[in-house]
Amino acid sequence: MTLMAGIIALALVGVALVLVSLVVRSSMGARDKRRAEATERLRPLAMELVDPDDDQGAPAPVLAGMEAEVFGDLLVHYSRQLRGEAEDRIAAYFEAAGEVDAQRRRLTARSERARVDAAFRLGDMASAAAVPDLLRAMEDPSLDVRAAAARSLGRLRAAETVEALISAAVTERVADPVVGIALLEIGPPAVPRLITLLDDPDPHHRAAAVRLIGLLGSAAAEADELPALLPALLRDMSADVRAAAADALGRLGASAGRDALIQLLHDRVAFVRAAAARALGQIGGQTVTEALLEVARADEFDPAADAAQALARIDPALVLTAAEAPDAGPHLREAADRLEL
Amino acid sequence: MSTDPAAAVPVIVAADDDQDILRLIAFRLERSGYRVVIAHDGEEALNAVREHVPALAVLDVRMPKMDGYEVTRAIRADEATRDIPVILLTARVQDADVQRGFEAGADDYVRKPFSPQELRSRVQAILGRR
Repeated sequence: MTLMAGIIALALVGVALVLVSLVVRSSMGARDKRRAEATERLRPLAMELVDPDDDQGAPAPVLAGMEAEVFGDLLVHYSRQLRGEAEDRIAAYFEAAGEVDAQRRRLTARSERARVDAAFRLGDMASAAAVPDLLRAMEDPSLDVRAAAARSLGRLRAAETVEALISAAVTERVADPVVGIALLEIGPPAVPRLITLLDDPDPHHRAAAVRLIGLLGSAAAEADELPALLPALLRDMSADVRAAAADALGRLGASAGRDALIQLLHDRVAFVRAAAARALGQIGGQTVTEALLEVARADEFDPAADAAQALARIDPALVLTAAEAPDAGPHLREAADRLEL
Repeated sequence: MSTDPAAAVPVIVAADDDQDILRLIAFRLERSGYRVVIAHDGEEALNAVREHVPALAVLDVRMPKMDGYEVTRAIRADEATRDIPVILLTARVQDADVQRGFEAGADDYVRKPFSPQELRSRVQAILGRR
């Protein structure tokens, strides 16, 4: 009797759960449908706001509730893809609607999720008014909030925050790639600050600055001083700096560093030699093949493997021939096998 | 001789897999006096170019099925479409993208994020030269 009652109770609970799940799913489906309809309805208004027919443009619509959310989402999406006057109009809308202030307040919320969300959202509202708050958010105890703030400062192309961004990377409060992307968004104004840091007495700062210059790639290549400065860093006391400088020269394709990189293939530290080999593979040139061949044949595992791959990139025919020799070693043969795949 | 006013309106094929941006590009170009045929991926874009033989094509570089470079090369390889000017929408500050675009046969490029006014100016500059 008791067993039967238990079975019936469990069955009832199961049926109730299924019903609740159906109701929730149906309600979510209806909400999604309403949002999709609102998106279609509001898209022409959003397009008119970001790209009006005349200088004055149409007045911004006054919206509330879900419609305001949907309209905001459309503008945020446009803000990621557009610049110039369109971005200014998006910023003006969010400022006038009180959205920028609301998100600035959320940056101090107790909930970490809310702070991350606000830091991220402010970057897409295109309003420079958020820059001081985002700079403060770079000191947040949460790594995710700091990363979102750094990303948003880049999105806002806040050149005045370059030093704070670099400092966050150097002190490892924000990951290098996040800062690198932010600096890439800011573009050329970031480069002079990075160049100043190349002389920093702290090798961690020098290495971080060099890595960021490498990440900036073509934007950094516009700085005339770099071809002269980076090869000098290949002789730095710190192995991290030497390796980072080799990587940066490779990414920049700076042929001015070719001779110094060939010398670096004899560095006392294996990961520096490997970085030099990779960089020479990116820079290329027939003058480097002999030196790479020697490393590929005789060095330790990582430098030899990277040298063989670099050589395959520069002169595939040479690798195929060299791999036939009795003293070729495993790395040249591996590179040749890959070429034949 | 055709008297259909629609026949005198230059046609532009615009392709981007981002629906919102595609509609914004069409919105801007239609208000500038062009008829716009939209495509959501590279294959659709190439079919639209072959079908409509437009005055110009605006192609995003990164699209499903065929990217903007492949579509440009296919346009250049076809006798019927080889003279159609192509503007590529390229990612941010990737100089390599720009270089690849010119190698594929593009006439001009606009970097994303872009200004709708700038896009219109580039379109008008190219069509004005013809």
